[in-house]
Amino acid sequence: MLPDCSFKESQGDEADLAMVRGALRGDAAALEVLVRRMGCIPLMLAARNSRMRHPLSQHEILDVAQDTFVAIWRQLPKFQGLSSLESWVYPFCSFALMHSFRTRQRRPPGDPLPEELPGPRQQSPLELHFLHQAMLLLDPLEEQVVRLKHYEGCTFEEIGARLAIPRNTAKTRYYRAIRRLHNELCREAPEGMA
Amino acid sequence: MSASSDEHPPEHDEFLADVLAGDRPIGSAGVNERLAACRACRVAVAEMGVMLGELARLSEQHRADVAQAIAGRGAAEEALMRQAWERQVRPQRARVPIRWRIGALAALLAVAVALWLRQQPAPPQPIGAVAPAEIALGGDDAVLQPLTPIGRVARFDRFVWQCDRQPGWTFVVVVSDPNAPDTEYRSGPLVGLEWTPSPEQRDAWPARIRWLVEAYPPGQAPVISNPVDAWLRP
Repeated sequence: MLPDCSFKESQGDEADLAMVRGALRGDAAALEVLVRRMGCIPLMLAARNSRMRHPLSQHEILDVAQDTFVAIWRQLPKFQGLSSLESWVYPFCSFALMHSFRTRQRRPPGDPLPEELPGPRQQSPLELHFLHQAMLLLDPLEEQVVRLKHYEGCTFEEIGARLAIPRNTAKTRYYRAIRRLHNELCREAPEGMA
Repeated sequence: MSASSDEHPPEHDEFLADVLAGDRPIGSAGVNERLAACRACRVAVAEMGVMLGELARLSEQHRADVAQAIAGRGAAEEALMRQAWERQVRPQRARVPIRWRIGALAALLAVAVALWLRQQPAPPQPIGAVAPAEIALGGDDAVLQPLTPIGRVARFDRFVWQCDRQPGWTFVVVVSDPNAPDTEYRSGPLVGLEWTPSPEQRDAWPARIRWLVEAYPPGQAPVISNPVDAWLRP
């Protein structure tokens, strides 16, 4: 039986889109709201860092948070208001944390390496940053369908309405996306994954 | 179609999309009949089930982290973002004085000259000069070490590395251009200790590459090997 992935968290946020557009135009009130809302960034980074068993220190997290905000500001014109601003921002935090960790690991020869971090193993090797990375390989419409279905908990009717496509198209795009994600993420996985 | 058929007509995709969407419930007579008749559909349904399970678990992480971040946001986090805005974003939007523009132009020129100098042919390096260091993973003998290609090679057709703690680990090979380190190609998640890139991937790479391996232990921080260089014989 296929798992039930339906989940209801938030409606597509036109208010967020209006606020973002206002901020990009330089509207002071919108900028104020945007900066306040971006206060979620350090907490998202801390959550990701915690899930990775704390490879970065608190001080490093704060540095990464500021860089992430700048990176998000540059990408902000691409925000379409299909999800809440925070949900849209979260993958940026995931990428930024991984990038920072990779950069830190590429240290000159002779520098001490951090000890392997202890902790229980999970059943599956698939991690969230792999999913975020694989989502970028999807057709933009397919990515939006998966995002709305799984992150926002939309039905196919709601996805169709938000993306202005028929329900059947949303369903077909979702099917293609799931097949593609499986090929990208699970094809070479060990027994038990695929 | 026979019961063991691997054939999978295109119209079966429509059937599978219906199953995935829940429009055709698994267990219903029509679905069971189709699955019994088409092996490819059975495989596809099993694979989609695995993927949906993973998506459900990872989406739960996504939603939990987002909800927690929204709920926990406070004055300290907002102050940090305000600081980033003031220091790094707002100045870029301000009108730049003319003497700064001249300075920036001079800096750009210097960078262009430096890049041009870097692109001049480098003196040949002996193969042994790029032997990679082993990365200790915390145990006495555990290593993550690129093995091939290293140094001068005929082709970048097979990437091999050593890691004696790999059961259950996932690997990603990262290939970059030493002259453009920001441009990198990342393989998908790999389970074994080797990777064969496609001819299209190889064709996109320069004659000299720098590569490393990222190892992802489940639920733990990744481990990254030292980078090594390889280049094609002229």
